[in-house]
Amino acid sequence: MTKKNIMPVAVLVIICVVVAALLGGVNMLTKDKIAENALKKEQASLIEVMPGATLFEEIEAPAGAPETVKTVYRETSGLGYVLVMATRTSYSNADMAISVGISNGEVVGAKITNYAESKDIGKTTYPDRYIGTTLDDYSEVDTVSGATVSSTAFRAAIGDALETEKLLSSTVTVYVTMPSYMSGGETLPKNDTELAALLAQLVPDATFTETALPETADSTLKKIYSVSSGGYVAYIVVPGAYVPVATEALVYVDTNGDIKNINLLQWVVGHGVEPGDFAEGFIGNDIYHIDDVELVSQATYTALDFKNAVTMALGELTALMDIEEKVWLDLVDEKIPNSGEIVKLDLPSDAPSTLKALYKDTTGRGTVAHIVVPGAYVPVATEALVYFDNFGTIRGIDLRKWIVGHGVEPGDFAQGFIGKKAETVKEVELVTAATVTAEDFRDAVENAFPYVPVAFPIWRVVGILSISLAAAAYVAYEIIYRKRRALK
Amino acid sequence: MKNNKLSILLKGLILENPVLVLVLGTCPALAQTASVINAISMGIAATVVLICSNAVISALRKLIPDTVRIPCYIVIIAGFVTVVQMLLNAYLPDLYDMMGVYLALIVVNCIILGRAEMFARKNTVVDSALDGAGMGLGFLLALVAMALIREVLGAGTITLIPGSPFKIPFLSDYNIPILTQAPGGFLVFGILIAIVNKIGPKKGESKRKEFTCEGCPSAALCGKVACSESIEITADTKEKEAKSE
Repeated sequence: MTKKNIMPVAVLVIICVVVAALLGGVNMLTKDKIAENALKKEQASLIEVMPGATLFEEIEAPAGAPETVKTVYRETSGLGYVLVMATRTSYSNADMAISVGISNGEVVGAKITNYAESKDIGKTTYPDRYIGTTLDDYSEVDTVSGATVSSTAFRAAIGDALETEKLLSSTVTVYVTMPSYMSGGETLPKNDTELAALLAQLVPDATFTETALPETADSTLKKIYSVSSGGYVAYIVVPGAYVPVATEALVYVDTNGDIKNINLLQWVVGHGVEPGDFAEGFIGNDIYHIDDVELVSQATYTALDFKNAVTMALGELTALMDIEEKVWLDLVDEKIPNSGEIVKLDLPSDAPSTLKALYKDTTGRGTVAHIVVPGAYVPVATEALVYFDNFGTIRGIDLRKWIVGHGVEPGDFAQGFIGKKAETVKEVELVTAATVTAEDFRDAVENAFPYVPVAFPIWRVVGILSISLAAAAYVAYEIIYRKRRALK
Repeated sequence: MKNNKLSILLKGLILENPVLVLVLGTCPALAQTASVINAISMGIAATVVLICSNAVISALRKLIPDTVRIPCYIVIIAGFVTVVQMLLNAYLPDLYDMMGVYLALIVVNCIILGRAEMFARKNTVVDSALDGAGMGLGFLLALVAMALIREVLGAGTITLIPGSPFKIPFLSDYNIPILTQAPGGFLVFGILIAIVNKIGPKKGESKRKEFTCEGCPSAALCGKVACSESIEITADTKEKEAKSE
């Protein structure tokens, strides 16, 4: 490697590095502006059909919208909606894509964005005729000759768009003034008579008695009714996160602590809470499964707030029915496959407070510890089920409740406990930003070990002994055999 | 000295116009001359890159070893082109969309690499920058000339703002569409080269150009006799060559 050989390569590398640094610098300066321009371009086609619009966000098409609706965009400052429709004409297999901008029930812009057949014909004439029309008078617009299928299809699409916009606006009751219950007042959006009717719908053939709210109830839990056939119904009102519209629901919890039925009384369209898959996702969950309810990918605070409100209500009702322990036993039973009866062990009086309960699987597979660690920074406890085998090794861990961002999480942290014994549990890695919460949790698990029954590892001993005996026998045999051969 | 500097700047305009005399950079010359604004943006972008890359390459000329000369030049040129791309994308997105892939193709535009090889490598920074400016302006001039002809006669409009062509009253009704398409482009190009050839050095005189045979794109074709200052094309020379074979 002479200087002659290195120099060219070195110079080239240096030049590349310098140029790369320069490019990186310019990129940092311009990338935000470039992203902004790209978004504007994407939305340019939407802005064309809604003059005065600035930014759009995509929302779900409302339930019951006609098939022709492909995408719905909501203008973020409340101007209205742009609906992208696709309609087929009978002489072409290609979709005719139409963008319609609707504000307050009136068409403000319409455009054909993709049509292969009669190109340029009617591109500017007949869509514009629909501007200013509403659901009542759109069908009176003169189609070009009445005979063309495309202009008829276009009119049908406009009709569908207007209907969809009606669906979107009608499910939102916009209050002109902030209702008093939002500011802590007493008036609820539904009065008792209305609620009685809705309750009868929710649980047929039963009577309802209003019960006093427990002191620990959250402000979103407005009323509790005890059901004559067993269980309770909670009336939940969650103030809107973005708009002054509340999300209301009746939640029916049965004697097993599971949500038997849920009725969404009012919701804001497009904010992640809706009566279809989302609401039905709650049914069948008890307090220890409610965390599994999925929020849509673009979950909003509205959806999160609602889920939290239902969770808290469910917790109150479970406590009210005093079935917490039963629900835990069900969970343990579910988590240990092929287990026999789960039996709760008696804890000695000197057991630590973090060890809430110990359960044994009667088929002898192991022990489950229910660990509850009070929160160090917030009044939320961390709860987990830890599975020990008969020899005092952790075989599994199930975090049921944790605080996000405090170092305890079901991924790497929790999995780090598996395989640990009493001596090695201290080695579980706390993440670099480890908090007291994570350390408390690890200590709680460590403190549980002495109370976990450990069987004498008889079979292990037998196994080791037999192998060593076999090995010794083999070695002895070899030695004797060799000696014999040597003598010969 | 001053005269020399001015002559460096001016020779790129007509005498050694990169597009019409040196016949370099024909791809953007044909593709981006369908409208005037395209030509102007292309010309300015190429000029900026040319000045910057010439200056930098000249500044580094003693440091870059001969063996990695071309890769180094390409990296520097590509760096400048990317910077221009990013700035256009951020602040003039309409122009950026209009130029499309041809903006990136400036990297492999023969003018830039050619001037780096022929001139920047052997001259000072100031001279190289001036040469870059001159060549760039010549490129711009040639492109605008072509675009004016092609758009005015071919489409009857002049576009100075991207997306809004200005219609010329009589010509827009009686335009010649072929001029805006590929065959017309070549036609206009060829005619312009012919015109510049005519007003350039007279016929018969040996064309004295500053670059030697080693930098000339047609060296392989002409057998290195056409442009050398010491050899003039005469019948005697040709006879001598024929005899020596």
